[in-house]
Amino acid sequence: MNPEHSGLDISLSRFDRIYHPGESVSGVLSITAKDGWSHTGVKITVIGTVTLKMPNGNQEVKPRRLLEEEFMLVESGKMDMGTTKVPFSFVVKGLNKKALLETYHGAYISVNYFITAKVERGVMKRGLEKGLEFIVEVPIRRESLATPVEKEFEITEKTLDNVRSSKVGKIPEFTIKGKLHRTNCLINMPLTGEVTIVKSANKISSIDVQLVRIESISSALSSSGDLSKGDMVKEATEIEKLQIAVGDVVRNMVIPIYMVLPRVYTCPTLSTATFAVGFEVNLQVVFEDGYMVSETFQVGLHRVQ
Amino acid sequence: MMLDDPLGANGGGGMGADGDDGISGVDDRGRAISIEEAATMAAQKFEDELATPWAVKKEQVLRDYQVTSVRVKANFMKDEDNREEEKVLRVIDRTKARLEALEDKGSETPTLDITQKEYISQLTRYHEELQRAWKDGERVLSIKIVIKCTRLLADTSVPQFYPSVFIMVTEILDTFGELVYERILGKAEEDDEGNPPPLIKKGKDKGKRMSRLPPNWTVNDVNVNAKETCRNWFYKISSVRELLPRMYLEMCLLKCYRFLSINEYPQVLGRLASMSRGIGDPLVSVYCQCYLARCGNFVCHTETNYANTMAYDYMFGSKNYKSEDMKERLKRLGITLEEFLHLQSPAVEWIMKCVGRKANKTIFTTALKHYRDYCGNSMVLKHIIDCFDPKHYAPNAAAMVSLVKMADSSKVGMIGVFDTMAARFIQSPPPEGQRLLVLNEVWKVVTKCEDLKQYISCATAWLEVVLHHYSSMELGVLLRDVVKHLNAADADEIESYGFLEPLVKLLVHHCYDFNGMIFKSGELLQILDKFKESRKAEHCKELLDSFAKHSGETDDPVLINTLFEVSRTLHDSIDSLSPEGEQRHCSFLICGFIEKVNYGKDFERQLGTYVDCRAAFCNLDDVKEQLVLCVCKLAMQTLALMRGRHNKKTSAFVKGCLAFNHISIPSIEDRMKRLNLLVTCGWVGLKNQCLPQTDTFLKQAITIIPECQGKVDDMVSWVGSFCGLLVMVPGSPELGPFYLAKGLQKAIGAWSEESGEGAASAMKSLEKKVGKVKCVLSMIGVCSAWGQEKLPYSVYGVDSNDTLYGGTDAYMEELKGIVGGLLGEAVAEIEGLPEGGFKCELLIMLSDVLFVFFGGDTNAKKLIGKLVKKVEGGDVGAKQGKWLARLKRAIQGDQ
Repeated sequence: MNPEHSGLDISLSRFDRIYHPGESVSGVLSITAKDGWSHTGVKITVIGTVTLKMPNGNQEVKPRRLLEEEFMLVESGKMDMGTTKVPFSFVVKGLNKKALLETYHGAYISVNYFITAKVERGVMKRGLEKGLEFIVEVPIRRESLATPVEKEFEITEKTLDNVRSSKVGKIPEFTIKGKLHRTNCLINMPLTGEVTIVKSANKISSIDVQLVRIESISSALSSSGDLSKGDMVKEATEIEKLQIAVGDVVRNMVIPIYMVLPRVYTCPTLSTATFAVGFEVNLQVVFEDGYMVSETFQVGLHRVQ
Repeated sequence: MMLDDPLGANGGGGMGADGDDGISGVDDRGRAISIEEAATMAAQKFEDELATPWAVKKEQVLRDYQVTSVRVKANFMKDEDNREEEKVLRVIDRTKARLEALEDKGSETPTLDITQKEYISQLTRYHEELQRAWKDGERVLSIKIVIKCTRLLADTSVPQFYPSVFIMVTEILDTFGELVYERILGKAEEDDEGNPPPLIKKGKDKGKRMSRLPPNWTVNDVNVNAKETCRNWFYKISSVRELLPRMYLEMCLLKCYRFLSINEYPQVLGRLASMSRGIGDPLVSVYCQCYLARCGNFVCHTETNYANTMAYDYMFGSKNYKSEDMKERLKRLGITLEEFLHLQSPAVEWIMKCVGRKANKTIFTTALKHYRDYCGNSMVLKHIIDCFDPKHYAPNAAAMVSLVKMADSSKVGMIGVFDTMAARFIQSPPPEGQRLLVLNEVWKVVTKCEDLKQYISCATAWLEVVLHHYSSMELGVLLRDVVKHLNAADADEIESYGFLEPLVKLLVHHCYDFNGMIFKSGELLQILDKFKESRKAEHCKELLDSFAKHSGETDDPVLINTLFEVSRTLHDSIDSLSPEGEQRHCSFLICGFIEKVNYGKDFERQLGTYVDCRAAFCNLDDVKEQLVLCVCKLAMQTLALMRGRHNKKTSAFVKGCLAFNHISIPSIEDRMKRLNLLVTCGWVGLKNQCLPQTDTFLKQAITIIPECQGKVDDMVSWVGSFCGLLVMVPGSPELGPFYLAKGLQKAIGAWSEESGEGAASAMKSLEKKVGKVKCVLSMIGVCSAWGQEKLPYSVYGVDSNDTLYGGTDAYMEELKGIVGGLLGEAVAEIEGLPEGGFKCELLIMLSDVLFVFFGGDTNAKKLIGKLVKKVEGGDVGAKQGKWLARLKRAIQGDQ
């Protein structure tokens, strides 16, 4: 049967398209040929890149290659009418034996891995091309992660640091206690902890947990040069904010902190010489009169084997 | 929609037809049941209550919590139907909206008042919208609609309506949960290529899809695609910012965790339970917990830890109810604390049910400690008492009673709590040593109750406890107190409510306990007097029915007298307009009573009672029939006692019995019944050697034959039994040996002529003719018996015709004449019949009779031969053919 259009399609063996370094990616390229045509070869290119964008300008920083592979899947010849399926496979490994980074789509930093299939059909016909992203996860060994420790905290009207001097001593008293169960979090496990309103003269309006992502890029990469060398440009993005309490909650009742880390906007904490991705958790207690107190925790996200 | 009831999943059996059986406390073996049995039954009842489906609870809540108007945010009523339009307008709107937002800042969101009906129809609209969006594949829109609905649950500005809103919103959530579940299940059923399973082609499930998953599938049977989809749903909802929508969404999707893990439920439920602590508003919080309890119980009924946590948390939180803040808040809402607690009641009840179901002593103790330390209001206490196993607190019953007395008031008063407590004590009573103390303490309060309805309800519950676990003394005291309250009350007030019913039902079912103490004490009759005539009659029926089932024969004069009064009330409630079935039922019950009266050898007294009964129940034929039969029995008992030889006194008594019947029978309407009774009395008379009386009965019978309208078959069989009796009855010295037979022949002739009028009469007339022939054949039998030298049977002490006439020529001549006449009549009658089955059948019967009785006689043989030929000439059916063949064989064999 003669298909209506010619085209390429890539499908990978794994449903979630997730691969680890050293693993072999196997897939099938489906070549659909209308009427049949001759070609100069079907080529597969696999490219992994880090793309950085300076927050303070529009200038693009030259993408850095992490992975690069190219091979001829089908030698030049004639493609018969109909669909031809050609299996292919390659190993995920860094360019020049360098370490790979996890797939990540941030606001200013992104790490992508693409498979591209391409075929040239001579001068008279348009070439065909099809790309597919696959995801690379780079887990670390469980043992290399430090034993998690609880991070306890206590906030009172006296521990606040950015209070106007005129207001000191006039703040209604309150005591908020709590803890994060661990600050070196596992990326596929929820962030957990607890918070207790021990006492509060003012009524509580809500308690929120905010996950903030901080992307930093070395200013050395910037061509504008108005920053001294070695400085990092930081950009914070709120990626999730969950209300964990609403209304004037009962005092001395342990309220759980529970946040499922969003899949798309997170990645393991990452730090290289030129850029970094880190995370912070803010606990915000909003009082009925509109005042808010907030406590910030640095958290690391990790993926383990 | 989640139609399955969550608690029913393990409650064993739902609310079946035996729903209220627990109250009866009686079994079929005719006695009050033992304490252990009562306890099991009470436990069963409790289980049944637990199984009250959510659907029932739902209706109840919607009924109980209503308001006239609801204040809502102005945008609530905005119709979302025109989505398309909105998209177009969005660009322009954006600036406008921004301006509006700026203006609105500081000022309150505009509100408007709508009626409850409008509110409900708006929610129904949301429900429909959700289903439509889902059908269109708009999953995000679906979630948005659901989130919008759950936001309504954050609004407690009209608290009185909150429980109902909760019910309506959770219904939408249930639908949503089911939709998502079905979608993922659909994916899980797909094969590797993504094709759904094939359709079922036949059977009752025709048109449905086959299932690829095994019946008890687990995560291991689920494909990657379905798992991924499911995980995506949970990721999606876990990022919903607001707490309440996030929780409600996860709760309604709980069922979907089955696609992801084997049993993560204890953990998930525990987390959700503690997350609910983040809800500051007590009303919102407790209902959220209630929904969790409901969904949690549905997905994992073995797990209760999370429910325990919620119950403790709830009670811990309620310590704030007496604070100034709370007072101010309630004032703003315009409700009292009692009302506020009442609003929470359905939710607390459901949570406590989930906790109490499997709670051990430790959990109960912890719960009670939380109650004492933080909570202390009667609404919660009532649910604790109701939902936990009473064996946890019955040992400390006295302490529980004082706890109830100390409880802060709520809409559930002390009486209400005691009411519940009693219901639970039926199952596990207080220990012996405390019983009296407990009852005294409780009754001190209950007796002062001024609300009659509450009082009666509570008294009913305690009466049941007393019936099972106390002695007749306490029972008497309680009963007197109840009557005192009822007497003091306004008669109209009692009549207008049905609240006395359960009390009376209970008493009726137990009225024969403690030797019929309730029944005889008179209090019951006093209580019955409070009812209207018709209801009273109903209770009388139950009393008699209960007596018939649970009591043996009795000679207790008080009991008999009371039952007699009850029966009389019942009898008097019947009039000529009462339906026939009703009359029959009442007769049946009264007969049941009469049968059980037994004074042993005091026959005079027995007869006296029957005389009273006849006077009292004169309108019921069935009862009179029963009385006649009873008197017959009495006469025969007397005879048996005298070993067949009466003395002067007993003879006179038997004659008295027969006289009773002689007077009673004619008052019975149904003539066929009369005929049967007269034959029976004839037998009794003959047996007791009362020949004149026998004669009178039989004559009376013969005289009413012509007017008898009953079935022809009945008459034929009656004549058969009459003839059987007639064999032994001696002839009259004046009127000859055969005057009764002649009379019978005449009467039957007259009866067969009587065929009424109209179209049906032709049929009836034919039937009667056939009947007449059959009767005549029976009579030929008697005559043939009389022709023998010695009668086939006789009665001791009575000389029958064989002795009296000893086969004299005159006697035989007359007999032959009669037989000839009968035969002639039979043949003539048969001849007159149209050809067909009847005729043929009768001819064969006649031949048969002739052969059996007069086989040796040549004339008879000739006649038989003729008849047989006649039959053979006609149209012979299969059945008749068989008879004929048998008859011919017999004749030949004889020759």
